[in-house]
Amino acid sequence: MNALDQLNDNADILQEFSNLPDEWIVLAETSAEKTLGSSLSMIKYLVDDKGYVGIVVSASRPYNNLTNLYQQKGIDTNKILFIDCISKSQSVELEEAGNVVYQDAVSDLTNISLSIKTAMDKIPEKKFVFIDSITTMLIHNTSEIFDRFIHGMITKLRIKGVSGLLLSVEEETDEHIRFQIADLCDKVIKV
Amino acid sequence: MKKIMMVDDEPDQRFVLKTVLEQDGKYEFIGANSGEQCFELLQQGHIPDLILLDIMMPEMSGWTVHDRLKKKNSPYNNIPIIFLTGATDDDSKEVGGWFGEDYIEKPYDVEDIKKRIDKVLNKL
Repeated sequence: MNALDQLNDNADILQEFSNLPDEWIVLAETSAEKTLGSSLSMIKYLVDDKGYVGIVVSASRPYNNLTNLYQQKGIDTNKILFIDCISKSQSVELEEAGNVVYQDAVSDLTNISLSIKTAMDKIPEKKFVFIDSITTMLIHNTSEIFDRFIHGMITKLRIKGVSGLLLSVEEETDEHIRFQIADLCDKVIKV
Repeated sequence: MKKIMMVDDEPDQRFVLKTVLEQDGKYEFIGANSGEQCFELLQQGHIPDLILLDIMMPEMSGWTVHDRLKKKNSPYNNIPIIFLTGATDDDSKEVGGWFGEDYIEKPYDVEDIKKRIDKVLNKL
């Protein structure tokens, strides 16, 4: 079964989300082979079924690839702002679009933070920030600087009443950091 | 003697702080007029104990300088940074507070800035 086909087999993921309050911070832990299918399921549920607007911080896939995948699954990409941290550093052609902000690199955490904060302020609707993924961001950043980013960001989400979804590949994320982040979240789900 | 590098495109800011910091004989001052010059000086071996980093600079902003210094494979990622800025927007203050050891708004009081430098250096 490929990652996209997994989409319909994730009813349990949706059950996890259905029990959450209006504003939530969730750490979603997945395995490497399920990462894409799980993230598509969650985004589809939140955007199409629950009416959220998404701010997707992608450290794993470039904007053009992600939008193709989302559209193949019928996710309304007009309701998503992408913060693409990959394309510039990988010399991928930058597609001009109204729903993407390109960052120079995954290690540009101050600029990424400012983009997320600007997006949160500009989008009036019910919204969530999706960090895709903690694991990839930790490849490019020291744990000390990433810790500052995630603490600051989660605090800001709570102050602003914005929901947060943090994706982590279970077997590849440092245990110590994983525990620290889990402590800051309302719920940890296995997807 | 502790070395303090100030990265600021405004010469008068560098002049004032150099004068203030060197008068006590406690600090050696290294001035850089841009992010690019900051990296040149570092590569030449001028490694400070602390960097005072202006955010609003042409070409390379203080944010970008910070992010490059703090990259995982950067040899300079353990140098503490205090952000200095005339920017008054809340986002800058907030993000500066997240990532910097301190965040100081211009115009600053020279005695206050010395205390804050000492505080950061004493934590090390």
